[in-house]
Amino acid sequence: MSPFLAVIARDVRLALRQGGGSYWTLLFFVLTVTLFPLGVGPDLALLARIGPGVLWVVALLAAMLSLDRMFQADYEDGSLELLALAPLPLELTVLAKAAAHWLTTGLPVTLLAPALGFLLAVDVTAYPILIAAMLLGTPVLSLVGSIGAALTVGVRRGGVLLSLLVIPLYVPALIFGALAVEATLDGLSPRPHLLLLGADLLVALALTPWAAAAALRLNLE
Amino acid sequence: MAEFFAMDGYAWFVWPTYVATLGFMAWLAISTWRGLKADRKVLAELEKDAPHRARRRESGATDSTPLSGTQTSDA
Amino acid sequence: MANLHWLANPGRFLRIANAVLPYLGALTAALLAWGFFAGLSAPHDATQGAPAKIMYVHVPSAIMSMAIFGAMAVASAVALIWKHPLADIAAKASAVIGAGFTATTLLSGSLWGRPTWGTFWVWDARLTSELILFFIYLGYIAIWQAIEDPNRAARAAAILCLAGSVNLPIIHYSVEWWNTLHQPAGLLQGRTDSSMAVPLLTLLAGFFSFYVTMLLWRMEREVVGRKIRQLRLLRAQA
Repeated sequence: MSPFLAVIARDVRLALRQGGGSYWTLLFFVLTVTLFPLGVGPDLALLARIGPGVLWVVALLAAMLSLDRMFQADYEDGSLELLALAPLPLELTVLAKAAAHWLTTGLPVTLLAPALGFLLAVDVTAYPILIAAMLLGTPVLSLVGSIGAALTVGVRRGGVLLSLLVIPLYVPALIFGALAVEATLDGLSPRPHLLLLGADLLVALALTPWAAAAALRLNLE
Repeated sequence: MAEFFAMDGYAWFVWPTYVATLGFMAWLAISTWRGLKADRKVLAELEKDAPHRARRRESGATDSTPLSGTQTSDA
Repeated sequence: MANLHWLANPGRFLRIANAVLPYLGALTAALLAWGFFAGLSAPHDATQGAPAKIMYVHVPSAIMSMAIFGAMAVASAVALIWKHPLADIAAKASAVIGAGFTATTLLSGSLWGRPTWGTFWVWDARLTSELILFFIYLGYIAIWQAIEDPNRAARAAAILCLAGSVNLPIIHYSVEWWNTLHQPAGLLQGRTDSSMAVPLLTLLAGFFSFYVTMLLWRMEREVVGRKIRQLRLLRAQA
C-alpha cells in the first residue's frame, strides 16, 4: 500500500474506532437538524423552503466540529513529527488527512442528508442534486478546514478559535451548495452552481495542502 | 446653525456615523500614543537597569510596571 | 538569542519613523479638517438629500477597510518569503486599524441604509462581503492573541492572511452571485458631481494618511514591545 493510502487508512481506522468520534459527528448532525422544526415550528411549507439551507449549514458545523481531531491527537502523542519526517511530503500527508476527515464526516453526512431531508419535507426531486452538491462541497470543507486545524494545532483550547478562522472561508461552498439545491426546487438548472462548486473544490485541492503544511511545519518547530 | 445640525430631520442617522468614525480614529490615535509612551518608559528603565544587556537578577520594582500592551504581557 | 541582531534594522526604522511622523500627523489633521469642513458645508445632494453626508465617512472607511487588508496580504507575503522582521510587524499593526474601519463602514452603511432603503440592514452583496471581511479581520487578530511566541504567531497569522486574501475574491464573487438571485442589486448607483468629489477625494487622502501615521506609530510600539519582551526573557534566564 502506498504511504498516501496508508495515512488515509490509519486515520479512518482511528476515527471509526470506539471513542474515535466519527459517530458523534453524525449524531450531532441528526440532532441539530431536528432542532430546526422545534425552533421555527412544524409548518411543512416553511421547513421545505429552508430545508436545503439548514442541511448545508448543519453539515458545515458537523464538519467543523470534528476538524480539531485532524492533527491534534497526532500532535500530542508526537506521531505528527514522525509523519513530518517521513519520505511522504507533508503536503501529501495533509491531503491524506483531509481525505480521511472527509471519508469519516463529509461522506456519511452526505449519505444521511436525504433521510434528514424527509424530516424537513424537502422535495424528493432535489435529492440527486443535494447529494451531488454535497459530494462536491463537503471535500472543500475538509480541505479548507485543514488550514485552520493546522494553524491551531498547538493552541490550547483551539477549537473555538478554529471555528472563528474557518467559518468565513466556508462561505463560498455554502452559497454554491445551497443555491444548487434551491435552483432545482425552483425548476432551474443547478448546473452553473455545481460547476462553480467544482471550481471551488479544484482551487481548494490545489492550494490548501501548501498552506496547511506550512502551518504544520511552523507548529512543529 | 441649528438647521445645519438638524440635517433635514436626518440628524439621528448622519451624526452617529460621524461620532463613531471620528471617535474610533481618535481612540486609536490616543490609545496608540499612550501605549507607546508607557512602553518607552518601561524600556528605558529596563535598559538603564541592564546596560549592555548585562545579566543581572531582577530588581522586581521595574518589572511590576503595569503595561497596557498585549505584546509584552506574555513575557 | 540569535535573533537579537534584527534589532539593528528596526532601529533604523524607528529613526526614520520618528523623523517623518510629525509631518505626517500634521498632514493628516489638515486633510481631514478641510475635507470634513468642505463636505459638510456643501449643499445637500439633490437626489439623496442630507443622508448623503454619510458618504464622507462611509466611502473612505470602506476603501480603507479593503486597502488595509490588501496591504496586510502583501506584508504577510513579504514576511513569509523574505522573513523581513518589519513586515510581520506592519501586518499586525494594520489589523486593528483595518478592523476598526470595517466596523465603521458597516455602521455608517446601515445608518445610511435606514433612510434610503428603509431598513438598517439588507443582505446586499457589498454589505455581506464587508461583514465577512470583518470576521476575517477578527480571526486574524485572534490568532495573534492565541499564540504566545511572537515569531510563531507572525507566521501563523501570515498564512491565515494569505489564505483569507485568496478566499476574499471568491467570497465576494459568490456573495454577488447569491445576491443577484435573491434580490435586485444596484440599490446604490454611483453618481457623484464635483462639489462632492473634491471633499471626498480629500477625505480619502486624509484617511490614507491617517492609516500610515497610525501604522508607523503602532509598528514603533510593537518594536518597543518586542525589545521589552526580549530584555525580560534575558533577565529571566539570568
